[in-house]
Parts: sequence; C-alpha cells; structure tokens
Amino acid sequence: MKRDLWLQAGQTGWRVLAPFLLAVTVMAMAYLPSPEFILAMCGPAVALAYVYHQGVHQPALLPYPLAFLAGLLADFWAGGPVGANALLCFLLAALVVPQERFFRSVTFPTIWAIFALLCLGWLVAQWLYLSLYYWRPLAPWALIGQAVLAFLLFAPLSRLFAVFNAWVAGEPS
Amino acid sequence: MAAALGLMILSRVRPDMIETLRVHSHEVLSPVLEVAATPVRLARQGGDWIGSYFDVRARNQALRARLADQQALERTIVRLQIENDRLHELLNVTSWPVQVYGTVRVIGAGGGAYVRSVLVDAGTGRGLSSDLAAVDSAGVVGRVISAGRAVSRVLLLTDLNSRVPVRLARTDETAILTGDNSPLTKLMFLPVGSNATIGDVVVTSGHGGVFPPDLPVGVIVALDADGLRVKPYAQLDRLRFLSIVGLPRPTGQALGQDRAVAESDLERGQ
Repeated sequence: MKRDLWLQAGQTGWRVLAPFLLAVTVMAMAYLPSPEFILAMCGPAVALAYVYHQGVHQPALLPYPLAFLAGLLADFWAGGPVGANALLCFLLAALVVPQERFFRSVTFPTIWAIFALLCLGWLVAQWLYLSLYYWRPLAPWALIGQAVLAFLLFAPLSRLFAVFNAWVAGEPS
Repeated sequence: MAAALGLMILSRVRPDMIETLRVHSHEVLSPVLEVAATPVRLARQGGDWIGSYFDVRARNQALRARLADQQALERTIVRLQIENDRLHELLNVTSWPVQVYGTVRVIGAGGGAYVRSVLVDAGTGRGLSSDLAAVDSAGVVGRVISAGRAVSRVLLLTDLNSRVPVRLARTDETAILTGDNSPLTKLMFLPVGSNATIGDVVVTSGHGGVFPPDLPVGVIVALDADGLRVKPYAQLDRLRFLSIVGLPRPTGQALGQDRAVAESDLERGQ
C-alpha cells in the first residue's frame, strides 16, 4: 500500500518535471550562437508557451514554483535584468490554471487567440519594466519581434508539449 | 510574487549579486549547450564544406589575387615595423605590454531583446576575470563582464550598456564608443570642433584599464541624428573563437611598491 503511494508520487513527480525539463532543454537550445541572435529571441517564447500550454491542458501538473522557475531561467539566460519573466510566468500560471473548466470547452484557435492577447500584455509589461530599468524609453521593436515569435512558435511548441505529455503519461498522442 | 519583485529590485540595486547567480546558472547550462551545439556545429561545418567544394575554383582565383595584395602589404608592414622599432629605440619608448589569456570558444548567446552578449567556454579556471578585453581576428569584440569557473560572459560592443574608451587613429581625438543594440555603434563625447569624418579608423585609447591601447575597433561609416556611427571590424553576429587579452595586472608585491613610491612622493610634496 505504502509502496503504491510512493510509486504514484514518483509518477506524478515525473509527469510534472518531464515537460519542465523539456522546456529547459528547448530554451537552452535557443541560446546557441546564431546570426543576429535570432535563436536567443525565442528564449522567453519557450517559457511562456510552456507555462500557458501546461496551464491550459495540464493545470494539475503545473505547480506555480515551476512556472516561476521557467521565467527565472529565461531571465538569467537572456542576460538582461532578472525577475520580469519570472513574475510574468507566475502571473500567467495564476491566471490560466484556475480557468480549467473554461479552457476545456474551447478549440485550439481560441486558445491561440487568447495567447496572442497574453503576448501583447507581456510585451507592454516588459517594455515598461525595461524602460524603467534602463531609465529611458527603449525602442520597442525587439520586444515586438519577441512577442510575434512567441505567438508564432506557440502552435509547434504546444504540439511538442502535447506529444511529450502523452508519451510521459504512456498515452497515444 | 514577492520573490520575483525582490529579484527585480535586487537586479537594479545589486547587479553584481545577480551577475554571480547568472554565471552559476550558465555553468549549469554549459553542458546542455555543449551537447546541443554539437549537431548544429557539425551541420554548419558540413554546409561550409559543401559550399567550399562547389566554389573552390572561384575562391582560388580570389585568394590568389588577395595573396598578391597581402604580400605587398606584408613588405610594407615589415618595413614599418623595422622603422618603428628603430624609432622606439632612439626615443627610449616602452610599448604597452598586453597579456594574452588564451583563445576561447563561443558556446552560447545570451541575447534577450536588449542584451548583446556571448558565453565562452573558459572562466577563472583559466585565469579569466571580469574586465578583460575580448578580440577576434579582426578587432575588439567586447569585454568580459562576469567569470565563473568554466564559463564567462562577454558583453559585446553593440550592447546597450557597452562603453569603450576609444581614439581616432587619424586625429588622435578621444571619445567613448557606446552600443544601442543595433549593428552599428555610436561615437560619443568627441571634443568640440572635432573633424572626425566617415572613413576614420577607431582604435582603443587604453583609458579605463580594461582595453589595451591601439586595438582596432572599427571604422566610421555614417553620420545620423545620433552622431557618428562606427561599424565594428569584428563580425559580432558570427563569433566562433575569441582571444582574451588585458593589461598585465600588478602583483601584490608590485602594488606595494607602487603604493610606497606614491606615499614617498606625497611626503616629498608636503
């Protein structure tokens, strides 16, 4: 009986950690050297897509500390000021996870459209924070590029997480 | 949420502490990057090999022409070097010593929306520390801003926070080269009435104690609303290997001697 409980806890832990580790690996690959830092621009997109996808499809498997940690790693690896992505990923999880019933009834295009709005919010929040941090109004183009990338990459990343989650759970994808 | 807000405040108030944490996270990341980079590197090498196979004839002709130019240039350089050495001897001038810390490989790009930096595969274990200069075969790339045991972060010339003391080779005017995350850097604080112009070569001035003097930085290519724009010689978007150089650091003994000399000078002055 006790052994079964441990086994179950281990399986749940693996189902929680495995997608996070996949997100970390994909995020790490975004920081490979690339011309004009194109790949690195995708770093925060992976963190956002991970948190949003898990929050929508597997809310029980997305503890808030992991959402925070995904954002924090994106902050650390990007090289800029730390904390903004961590806070935004945490808030994103706090916003999406309680809406489990709503997200169960909507189609993928709606989920994607909501993600587009969230990307817009992320863009504005990041721009405000970074402009305050550097104490000058920064040109928003780089952030707009990141937000558009995040929106475009969501579909393939979401598919990747879905297939991976199914594989971890031992279900057909 | 409190933790995130705390980190945001800390990254403003104590950036050094955040940088230390960042370097540790990069140390964790570097093995993942090494593994992830291998197929990319192999694919890139394969692509280069296939590309070079097909245009070998055209490249051969271009290289022959370039070799002839280089040989003429080499003769001039050797002549000038001899002349320069003789003049140095005559004037008893000592040249600036430059310490080379070695060649490092670029393993990652830490580039967010407003950051231009790269990760290299060497750190304190190979004698690197913050505030050393990074150069490639063409010119200055940036400076080391944090060093872990096996990984360091190099802030590129084009980063928003980059400031490099420079000098115009033609006029000897000093200025500060700043980045704004665009491919071209800006020249600031030129003397009033400066006659800097497009085509002027920019080199490091040696002020500030990070960059040894006279390292090639770039060339002035444009004048826009923000002032003169400098195109770095280094290909910052295609970095593979860097040399880390710096001014020799005074040892503890030498530092003590310098301090003793300064103190005795002060006493004499009084």
